[in-house]
Parts: sequence; C-alpha cells; structure tokens
Amino acid sequence: MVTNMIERHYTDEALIALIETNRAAADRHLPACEPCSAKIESFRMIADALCDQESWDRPASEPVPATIASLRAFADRMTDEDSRAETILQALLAGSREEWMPRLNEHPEWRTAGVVRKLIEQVYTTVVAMPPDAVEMTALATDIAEELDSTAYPSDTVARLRGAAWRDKAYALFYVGKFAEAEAAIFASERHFCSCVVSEYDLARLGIVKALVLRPFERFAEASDAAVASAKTFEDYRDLNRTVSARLAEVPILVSRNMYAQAERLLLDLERQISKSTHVDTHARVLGGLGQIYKKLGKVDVSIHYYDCALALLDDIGASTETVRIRWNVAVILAEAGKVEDACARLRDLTHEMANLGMTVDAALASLDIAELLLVQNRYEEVEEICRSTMQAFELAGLAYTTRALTALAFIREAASLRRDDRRLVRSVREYIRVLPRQPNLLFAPSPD
Amino acid sequence: MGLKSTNVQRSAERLREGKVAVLEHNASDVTPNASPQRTEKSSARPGDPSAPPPPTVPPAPAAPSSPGAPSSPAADDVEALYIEHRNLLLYVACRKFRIPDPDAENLIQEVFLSFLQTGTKIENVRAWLVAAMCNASRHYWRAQGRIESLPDDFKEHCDPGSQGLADQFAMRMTVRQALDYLQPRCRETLWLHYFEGRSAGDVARELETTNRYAEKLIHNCLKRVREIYLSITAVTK
Repeated sequence: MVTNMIERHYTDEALIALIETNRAAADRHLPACEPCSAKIESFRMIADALCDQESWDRPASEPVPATIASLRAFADRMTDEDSRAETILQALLAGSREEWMPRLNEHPEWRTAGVVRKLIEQVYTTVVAMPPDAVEMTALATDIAEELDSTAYPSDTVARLRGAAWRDKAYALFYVGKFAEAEAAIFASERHFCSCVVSEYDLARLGIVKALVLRPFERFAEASDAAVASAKTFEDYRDLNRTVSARLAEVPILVSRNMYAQAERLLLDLERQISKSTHVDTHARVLGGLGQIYKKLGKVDVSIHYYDCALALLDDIGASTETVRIRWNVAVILAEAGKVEDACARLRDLTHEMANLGMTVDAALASLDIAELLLVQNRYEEVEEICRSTMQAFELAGLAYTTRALTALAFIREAASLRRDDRRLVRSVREYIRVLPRQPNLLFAPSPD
Repeated sequence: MGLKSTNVQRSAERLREGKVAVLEHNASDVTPNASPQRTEKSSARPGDPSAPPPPTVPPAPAAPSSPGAPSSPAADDVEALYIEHRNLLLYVACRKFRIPDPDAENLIQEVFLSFLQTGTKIENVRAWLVAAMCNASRHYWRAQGRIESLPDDFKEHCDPGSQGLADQFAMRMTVRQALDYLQPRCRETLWLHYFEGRSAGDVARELETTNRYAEKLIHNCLKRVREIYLSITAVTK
C-alpha cells in the first residue's frame, strides 16, 4: 500500500481526507512527492482561509470619487510644477555656485515645491561629479522648502519635502567631510519626517545617511543601529535593493572596528540575497565590498576574484568610472603582493582611461602610485616623465586647484631629477592631491625630513 | 469623502457599536456578494462614536490647470493604482487596525499622496502601499492616543507582521472573491464545516442529507473553491 502511494500521486479526495483527519504529518508519500505536497498545501491554505472571518466578509465599497479627484489634482499639480521647475533650474543653476543663492533671492517666484523636487533629483549625480555644487544645491533646496507655505499644499507635502531636502543636504555634507553639519541636517530631516502620517520609508532612507555620518564620529553602535533599523523597514516594504544598501552601510562600520570576519559574513549573506535580483549596481557594490574585505584579510587571490566579478557586472551596465576604480584597487593589491611590473602596467592603462573619462585627480593619484613603485627600483627618469605628463594633464583640465597641484608635483619631479628616493614625499603629495577637490585652497607643505 | 451606505462602513459601524452583526441571507442569490447567514466571530472594538475626529487629510487643492485641461499621465497612473489597491488597503486599515471607514479612506489618500512624493523607484508597489498603510494606521492610533484612550488590544493592531501581510491579505480577498462564484449550497456547506467548525454529520443534519453525501459535498466544494481561486490568481498574475 505504502509502495503504491509512493509511486502514484494522491487524488484530491485523498489529500483532503488527509487534512480532515490530521494525518498529513504522518504520511510517508507527501515529503517525497513535490506535486502532492504542493497540492495539499494549497488545499490547506484554502481550508485555513475558510476558517477566517475575513474570507467571508462582503466585498469592500466602491472607490471614492472625491479621493480620486484629490489624487488626480495632486498628481497634475506635481507634474505642472515639475515641468515649470525644469526651466527654472536651468536659469537658477547657470554659472558658478556662488551666484545661485543671490539669483534665487532675486526671484521669489522660483520658490516652489517643484524646484525643491528637481534640485533633490540632481543631488545624487552631482555629489559624485562636483560635491561642493551638490552642497550648494541642497542649500537652495532647504532654503526654498523651509519657506514654502505648508497650507498651500495638501496634507504633509511640505513637511515631507523639507525632510527630503535636509536628508540630501546631510548626505552632501557628509560627502565633503562636514560631519557635524551633516548630523545637524539629519536632526532637521528627522523632525520633519516624524510629523508626517506616512514616514517610515523616508526615515529608513534617512537611516542609511545617519549610519554613514555617525561612523566618522566613532559612534559605531548608533550607526549600526540606524543601518539595521533601516534594513528592517525596507524588508517590510519588500525593497530588496534598499535592504541590501542599508546593510551595506554596516560594512564600513565593521571595518572601522576591525571586525573583518563579521563583515565577510554579512557581505556573503547579502551576496546570496542580491545575486538573483536584477539590481546589478548593488550586486557589484557587494562584490566590491567582498574584494575589499578579503584584501584586509590577506586573501589576495579571493580578493581579486571578487573584484573581477564586480568588474564584470559594472562592465555590463557601462559604469566606467566605477570600473576603473575597482581595477585600480586590483592593481594596488598586486603591487602590495610584490607583482610590481604587472601592477605598473595596469596602472599605466588606468591613468589613460581615467584621463579620457575626465577623472583628472584619480589619474594623478594612480600616476603617483606608479611613481612610488618606480622609485623603489630607482627608475628616476620614468618618475620625472610621469610627473611631467601628470602636470600637463592638470594644465589641460584647467581646474580651480591646478596651480596648487602643479606646485606639489614639481616637488617630486625635482626629487627625481636629483635622484632622490623620497617615497614619503610621493605619499604626502598623493594625499594632498586627493583632498584638493574638497579643499581647493589648501597649501602644500612637504613634510620635514 | 464619506463612504456612506457602503458595506465596509456598515460593518465598521457594527464593530464600533459592539453589536453582533447578522448578514442577510438569500438562498436563491447566486450573484457575487451573497453570503450565508452567520454571526460575526470577532469581538468589537470598544470605540466612542462621540470622540473627537482623528487628524484627517484636507482635500487637495484643485490643480492649477484650468478645468477641462488634459490630465497628466501621473494622474491616470495614480487613479489606476488607487482603484487596483484600494480594497486591499481598506482591508488592512479596517480589519487589521480597526480604523473607522471614513478615516481609513483618508489614510488611503495619505498613503497615495506619500507614494506620489517618494521620488524614487518603488520595487514592489503593492508591498510598499500595504506597509505604508500599516504605518499610517499606527500613526492614526498614536494620534488617537493623544486625545482618547487606546483600545485594549492596541498592541495587536500595531504589528501584523507586515513581511507577508500583503500576500496574506490578498489571499483572503481572493478566497472571498472565489466564494462569490460558488452556488449558495456549496458556500453554505463550506461555511458550516470550516467557519463554524461543524462535523460532516452536523452538516448532513443541517442540509437534511446523509453523512456520506455531506462528506462528499465538503470535498467537492473545497475542490471547487480551490479551482476558482487558482483561476483568479492565474488571471491576475
């Protein structure tokens, strides 16, 4: 009898009888037969639902025309404001950022919710390309949002906009290293969002920024709590991409606390979750994180493997700048592993690509990596040549801080021409050039020997 | 914005009044909406109809565009979303959080206004709306807590485990829809056996038939409701 049951599927009647008599758990066929176990599960699900009053309730009422009218009016108003805002933004953001706020003050009619939304829309792309511009854009957004008449918009529209503007300001300030100001912006954002009827999702987005901002203060527990709480909320909203992003914010916190094993576990868990999704960008960030962690753990081959995986994904989506940064990490790992020639060759390729992508500073930093490797081998002429070409690239780029960068590079060129192996000088110039975009008025002072 | 004369409102009123509701029974009615005679299983929320009104959403000001101006695609989208998800959200608010109907409708509007302003791509719209509805409902009771005492079972309202909430609610709604397509006798059989927990023998007595036939009826009706359920979900997928 049992043998027959294993070979043949149960009839519907037999499955229902198993549920009715509570014998399903003891049955031997079901665990081995996927179709039968799936079918009995669906019968059980329906039977359970039939025990629930909610399944017997009468259908809900018809949609309410007044609600539809209100929502349509609001959507139309947003569309109208947003389309006007696009034109306004072109005029507002013309010229250098120092001109933007005075120009806004000359045009009170530009202070609309649409302009705030459009400014916010641009912050995340601008913060990568030109962080101080992003900071100024968020200053405009918060300034406008704070002065909007909340009674002119339905419900908590204005409070929500203010919250969003302050959140993005916090992020932009964090990006340029103004952590104390970023924290103050977080408080402002939190205050506005908390006054909204629906706030969890926005607060969770703020939580990610909070986790980033609190880490430099070494308030690791708070930062970690913020990231975990955000991830929990995003899970509730079934937002896998943001859930993973929130948990990714925990990784630098763990790294700061030298908890590499925990970071590794977390990243591997995230990799399992995200690998089957279509969120290629986030998946690549997770893989890049694994590359970084394995580098910290001294597992060079594994590190390079994960970096390669991240590269493959980034190539697919055409994320050129991210790709070159990861390849840069790989080259540095090879250099640290003593594979100098391979590292130099990769870095030389990268500097050309970076220059083509307009990543002048990154190209200079990668060139200085090469210079340091060459100094070890006393290849001074090549170092001189690298300095010359890097200086030329800065001149061509015509950046606000070009002169200062040239001065710093001249120190290395001079040291190389004197055949002096001054790797400490190279490192201090590299650090100086790294911070120059954020602090363009910083003067270079070579460290005293 | 009221929901006068609606079934859900009547149901919520019954809950507020703490009365045992008896739904109409029309044995000859084979149209959807017909339910067998039954009593409410759940206990009513002790509410005070004279309590101050909760914070509600003022109607959105009219769009700046002139009357008759063409609507934006965003307006069409939000209307479609509202129509698609309203019942589910109403269900979450009224059934899980026991929010009075007119207030629930206001909260739905809040949820959609918030949805319109997210400014970011939403991965799973239904889950987002349900989770936001839970958020709005909790906010509602918190606000109520400031002006009147909270219901005794407030904590149960607050955490319906929103991870699988949308699926669970959607499933119950689909079963309800499937029941509407059944013959009254079949619906009554399922009602007696599953909802009231009566044995096949009891069902046989109630339907004036044999035990064996009642058993067969229970099985067939369960099979039938499952078939309809699967066909509905296949279509909506």
